Amino acid sequence: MNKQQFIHYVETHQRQLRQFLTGLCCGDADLADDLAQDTLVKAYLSCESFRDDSKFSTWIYRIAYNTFISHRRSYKLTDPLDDASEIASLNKADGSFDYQRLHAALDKLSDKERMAILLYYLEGYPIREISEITDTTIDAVKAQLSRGRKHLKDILEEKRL
Amino acid sequence: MNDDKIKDLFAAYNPQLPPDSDFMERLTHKMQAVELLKDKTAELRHRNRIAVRVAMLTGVAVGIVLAICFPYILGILENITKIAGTSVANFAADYIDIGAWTIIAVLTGTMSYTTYDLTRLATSRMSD
Repeated sequence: MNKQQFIHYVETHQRQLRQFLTGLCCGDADLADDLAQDTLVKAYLSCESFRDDSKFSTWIYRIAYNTFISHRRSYKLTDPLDDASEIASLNKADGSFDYQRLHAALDKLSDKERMAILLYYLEGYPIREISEITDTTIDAVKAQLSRGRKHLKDILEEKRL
Repeated sequence: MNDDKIKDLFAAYNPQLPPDSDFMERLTHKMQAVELLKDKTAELRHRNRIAVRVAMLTGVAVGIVLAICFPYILGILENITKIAGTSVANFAADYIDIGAWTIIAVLTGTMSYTTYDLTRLATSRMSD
């Protein structure tokens, strides 16, 4: 992929990537944008050596996943439920609070469960591609999805009561 | 809550994000900075390669010239040891060849390094 193709791809898909990272960061859109910037710069540095044997979007999301994990290792995000609510309430991007419950529920999941849930339900990736993105086995992805789904249902139903 | 409801939840997921134009402007600046850095790095690498080649040629030339001058260097060292005294001359007799070759090696290395440094300086001034 050459630079022109890369820039065209970014212009078309940057919003989707940022939405995904916003979900991964439990509503912190500013952090999500920073991670998206890092992801796209890393991808730009190596876009000319990208091999066509995997989808470009899969490759970008793999970089995004690794960038998110590196960030988590560098900065310990405790994000208990109260903090997640605060992030949602201070964040101008989520001023309507429509997604506050969802972000707070996502915050309760582990990073891997949240990643699997978002890639499957938000991005519509099949399990095989999720395993390529997260560099895990298909069985592991299925387990993460199953656990994540169950946790999410339990949390959202609990909040409804 | 069943699986379809989770699907519907995420199908409607559309959080408000900071403006696309701001994001793209920031990203474009970073990409331009990356390009600038890549150009500078390539230029430095090119200048370094020129300096290494010139230094290598200098080293080979100086080495050949000094090797040809080996008998003269040997003669100079023998004269120096004679001036120093009989005991020094006797001690140095066994090591005078090594001394001569050491001097040749040091001079060749010094000339090569100096040429490398001067070439890098000259190419950096030319590109400025």
